[in-house]
Amino acid sequence: MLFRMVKKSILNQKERMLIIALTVALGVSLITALLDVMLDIGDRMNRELKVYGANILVTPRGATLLKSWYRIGDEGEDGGNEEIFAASDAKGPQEPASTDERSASGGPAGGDGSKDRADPGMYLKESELGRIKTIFWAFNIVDFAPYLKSRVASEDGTPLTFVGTWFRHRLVLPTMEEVDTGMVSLKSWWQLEGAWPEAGDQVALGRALAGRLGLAPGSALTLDGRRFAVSGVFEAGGPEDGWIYGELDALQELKGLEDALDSVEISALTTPDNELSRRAAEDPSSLSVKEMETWYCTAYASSICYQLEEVLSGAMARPVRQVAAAEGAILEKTKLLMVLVTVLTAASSALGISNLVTAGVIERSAEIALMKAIGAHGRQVAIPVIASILVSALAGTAVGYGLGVWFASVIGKTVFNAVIEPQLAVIPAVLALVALICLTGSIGAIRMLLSLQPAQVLHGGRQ
Amino acid sequence: MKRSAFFWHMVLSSVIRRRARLLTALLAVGIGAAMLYGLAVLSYDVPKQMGREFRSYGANLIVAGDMKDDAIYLKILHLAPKDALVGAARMKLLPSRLREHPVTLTAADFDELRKTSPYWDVKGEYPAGDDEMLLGRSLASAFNLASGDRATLVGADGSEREFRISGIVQTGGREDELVFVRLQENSGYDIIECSLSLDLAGLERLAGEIRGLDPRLSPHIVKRLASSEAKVLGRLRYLVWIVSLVAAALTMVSVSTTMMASVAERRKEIGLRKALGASGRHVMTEFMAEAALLGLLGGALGVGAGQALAHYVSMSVFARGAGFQPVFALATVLAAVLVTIVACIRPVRRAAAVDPAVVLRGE
Repeated sequence: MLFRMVKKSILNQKERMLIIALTVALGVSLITALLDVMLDIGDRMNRELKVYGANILVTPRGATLLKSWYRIGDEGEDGGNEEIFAASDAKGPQEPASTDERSASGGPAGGDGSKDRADPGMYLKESELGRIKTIFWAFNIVDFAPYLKSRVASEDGTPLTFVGTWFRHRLVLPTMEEVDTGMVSLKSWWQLEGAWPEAGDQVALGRALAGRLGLAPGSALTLDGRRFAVSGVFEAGGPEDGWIYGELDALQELKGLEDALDSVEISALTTPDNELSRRAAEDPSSLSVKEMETWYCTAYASSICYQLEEVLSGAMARPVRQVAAAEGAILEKTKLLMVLVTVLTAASSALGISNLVTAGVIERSAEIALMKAIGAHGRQVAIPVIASILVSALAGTAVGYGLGVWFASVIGKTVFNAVIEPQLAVIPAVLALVALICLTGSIGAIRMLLSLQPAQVLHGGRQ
Repeated sequence: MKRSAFFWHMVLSSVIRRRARLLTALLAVGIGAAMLYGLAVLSYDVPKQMGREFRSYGANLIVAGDMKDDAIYLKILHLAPKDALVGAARMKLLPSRLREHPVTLTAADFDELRKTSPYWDVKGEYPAGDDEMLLGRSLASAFNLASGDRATLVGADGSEREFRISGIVQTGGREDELVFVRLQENSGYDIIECSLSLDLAGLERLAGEIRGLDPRLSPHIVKRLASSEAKVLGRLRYLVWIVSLVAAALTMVSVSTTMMASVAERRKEIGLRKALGASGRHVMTEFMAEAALLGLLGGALGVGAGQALAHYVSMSVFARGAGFQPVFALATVLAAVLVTIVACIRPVRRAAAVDPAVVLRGE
């Protein structure tokens, strides 16, 4: 009889413990998955927001004002202003101080490619581009593309805007690493018919220009006396629709501007601006040594710009606020949203688990009262009960953690098409949370039971 | 202890224990329902609210044309869906010269511009009077001008006007090389920058309607913003849905385990009822009814808590409350009732199937 009672009690307890373990496992898997997603969401969303294009623009220090009159590098944030852009473009040739004119000096008129080296302050150096990937935050530079813009003459002498760039370029870094970068990944919203140029004698035309010249992918045109094949026609929804895009090397050769660039667009993963970064952007020398260190070692747009200026000679790097500021706002909202959802979900899971644990203890009131009736002290009663709950909760936590990591990876795969790495910091957090929930849940219930007289409880337990 | 006092203690403790059990079940159902409803409301609301946040990328529809008076502007404001319109700024571009350097003087509607282009970083103030101007940062540094300085602009017709610089604007884009002044009323304008929280199809429809107003107007959709927004927002919507789905599913499973536990604990009660002559079917129906009632009550409480939850999240993230969704509320209550009933079926049936004598004898 005694043996049967013990066996039955263990069996009963087993079932109860199994349910506690199962609930803990479900709660833990939910908390783990959400915590992993939450900790990774900033990085993931940051990458998603890269579709808006470059958030840092590098221009030569010496030529910023003059060049910007022609809005090089300003890739038409406002598509509707193209008339104005077109107007200023048309004004170009008559503008004596223009860089376009300078760079085109051997162009439309002679096309003899005389090697008049331009003022070095007016250009960036292509040979230095690899250094972009050597700055402190090199890992955060997602893509970059160099540009050189110039005027070329078509067969009948009409001046056209030619932009030389890297479409998809493999760059070998000084460290012998290889990086693939270029304009194609920066301009995700451009619609292309045909293909991007792959060789120096190919160009891509903006839709407006292609329409005007009556060209389509496959046709050919002569620019500055050199024949180019049209590999594709693109629609950008901005002033670029009136331009020609070709390989950087081809334009440099055509214009005799070896190694010259007049802007670099960079897409970087950045940390949203705060008071420190704003102060630093104003004047880095106003910071104390400690602040400077914090700023330099945080991926603010302004500190990345500062680091870029350090490695590129004669360069001026500026965050494109339209992209950088909006990105910051959206990232912060998304993060806050995920944090709140995670915290609330965790809280309700915790409440659910503690609810079950409390119920589990209360259901064992008869047993607890019996132990007390035969002379056990409060602690002697509480310890085995709490221990058994903790053991089953621990088993549940182990299973739940594995399940949670799997859920996180499923979310990462389906939503972002990327792996969400399980964060080690989640493990102690979850363990502490589970222990806390179980202890508060069971101690409260046990205290309540102990405060009642054993006889009352035993009587009530019979119902 | 006296007999009567002892009796009352018995009754009280029984009630406490019964109430504790009922509360446990109710709490479990309520939490589950709150999560379900709260997350559903958030999944529905967040993409819409986020869409508005994406407007910090600036204007996504630009209407260009020679507009003489405000009639067209008002018509466009009227055409745009009211809750989608974030701002619409009129602008007029005037070629001018600043210290012999050609600059584009932009007369703009600053109140609206601040809404359409929240990313502008202005050191100093936006121009308050007609004799004040906002200078682009590149121009300011090139000509060594600062807020408070005075500068003379020469118009295309040779007319000179002196302005006080009220602030320096910095965007890292085109605005750094422009000069801004206040747009005079009724002076005409040639650009309207509109910021609308609409998707590409909505923008295209609106652009078509604007073109229909006057064929000389040319509305342009800023493709870069519209198409990128669709991509990112799609991802975000997907994320919120998946997270909610996983959370809701797990919560529901957890609710049903709690329910199972609470019913399994009542095996003796079931045995007693059967011993007193109740049929298995009778016990079953009674338990189902109780579960349904519990689900209904827990579901209703959960909807209330879930609404508070969603409202709190929406308020803290977007500073805008979440509306009540009757359809979701109904679905949540139904789901709560369903889950409670389904969770009860197995343990009740199992308890009812066993011989009452065995159930009652077992500890």
